[in-house]
Amino acid sequence: MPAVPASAVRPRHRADGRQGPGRVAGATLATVLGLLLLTSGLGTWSEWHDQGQRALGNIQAGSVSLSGTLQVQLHSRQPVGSRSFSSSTTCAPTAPFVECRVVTSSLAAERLIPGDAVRVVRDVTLAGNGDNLRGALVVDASALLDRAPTASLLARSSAVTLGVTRPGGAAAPVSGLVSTTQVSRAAGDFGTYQAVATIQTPLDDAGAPWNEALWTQVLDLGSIRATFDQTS
Amino acid sequence: MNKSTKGVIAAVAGVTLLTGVGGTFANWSESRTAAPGSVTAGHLTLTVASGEWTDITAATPKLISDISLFRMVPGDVVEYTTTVTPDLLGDNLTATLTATLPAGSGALANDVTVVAEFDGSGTATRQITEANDDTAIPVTVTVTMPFTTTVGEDEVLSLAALTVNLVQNANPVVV
Repeated sequence: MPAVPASAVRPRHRADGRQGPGRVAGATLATVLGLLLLTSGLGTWSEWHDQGQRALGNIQAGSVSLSGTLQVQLHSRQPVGSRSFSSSTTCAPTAPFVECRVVTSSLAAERLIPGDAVRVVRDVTLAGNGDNLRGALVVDASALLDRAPTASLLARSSAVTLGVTRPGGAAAPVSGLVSTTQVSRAAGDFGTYQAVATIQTPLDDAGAPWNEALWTQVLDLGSIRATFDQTS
Repeated sequence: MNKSTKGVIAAVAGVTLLTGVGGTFANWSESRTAAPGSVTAGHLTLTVASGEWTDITAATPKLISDISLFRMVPGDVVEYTTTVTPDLLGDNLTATLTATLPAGSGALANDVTVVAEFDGSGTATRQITEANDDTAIPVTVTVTMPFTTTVGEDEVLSLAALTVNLVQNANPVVV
């Protein structure tokens, strides 16, 4: 009888009922895989299950901004050519004024004559984005000229007025030196508003004492403040 | 005849009698056939309808035709509305409906609140029974930008997708 190799007669199961190392490893792997399938996020559910999805997209916030320019003009009632200006940049005078200079950058060098008017022209551009964007645009010129008892006589003797026009040219409401306009982007109210604050100095014929008293007096200009406050 | 031969003959005879060969029974006998029929499984599915965005900031809601063109400002409230229709059949079938939203991404996510709920219930979970079969259930996603917000201009909120799951509830174990 030929000799049989030992490997050919190795039993498939151990005589003591225990499994070999390879089977133990296989069983362990199967168990782990089974647990993974049952408990992990591999998409397997232990109950009936269905899922639906809807893409919601993106939502973007709007914005709002204010920007502006400032120009200071000196309007004169004196006959054309009868006085001097530091500034040579002209602007259009409106009656009863006959001459105008842009004095934004030369303000400190200009010399006022009674009856002159200083106009502060503030262009305010309100821009923004927002389907429900609305609010109040406030232009406040109350701080343009300090007219307190401690201020200069020239300042206390001058009158300050404010006018505001909407982007289309219509007048905006003004109360004293404050203009408040309700604006809505949806209504097309956004754009450039023009605020003109006029400081009217006393006329030279207002009274003899004024002429001399106003000499060397200073108009110390403050600011015109523009704000936009969103309303709900 | 030896003992072995006799034994074999006796065994054959006994087996013949016991197995009825020849049609003979030792007792009365009767049989019936029962037809248990067939058993059909139920089903569980859901359908999520296409939704729409609405601006509900004012008293009169306005439909938003394209949410990507809408520009949100403080105080705004916009709402996505859709419906989920469960289709379920099973004598003992109940299920849990949940609506989930991934955390919104984008800088605007820090400046708004996003809430998903079923049917104005205030919750994003709802129990479903056969009574809800083929009944559309409203689902809303509400995005609110508080009026007190002072930041967030031009920022974007990416909402990804609203996911609705309908999962069968485990039946109680009968012992």
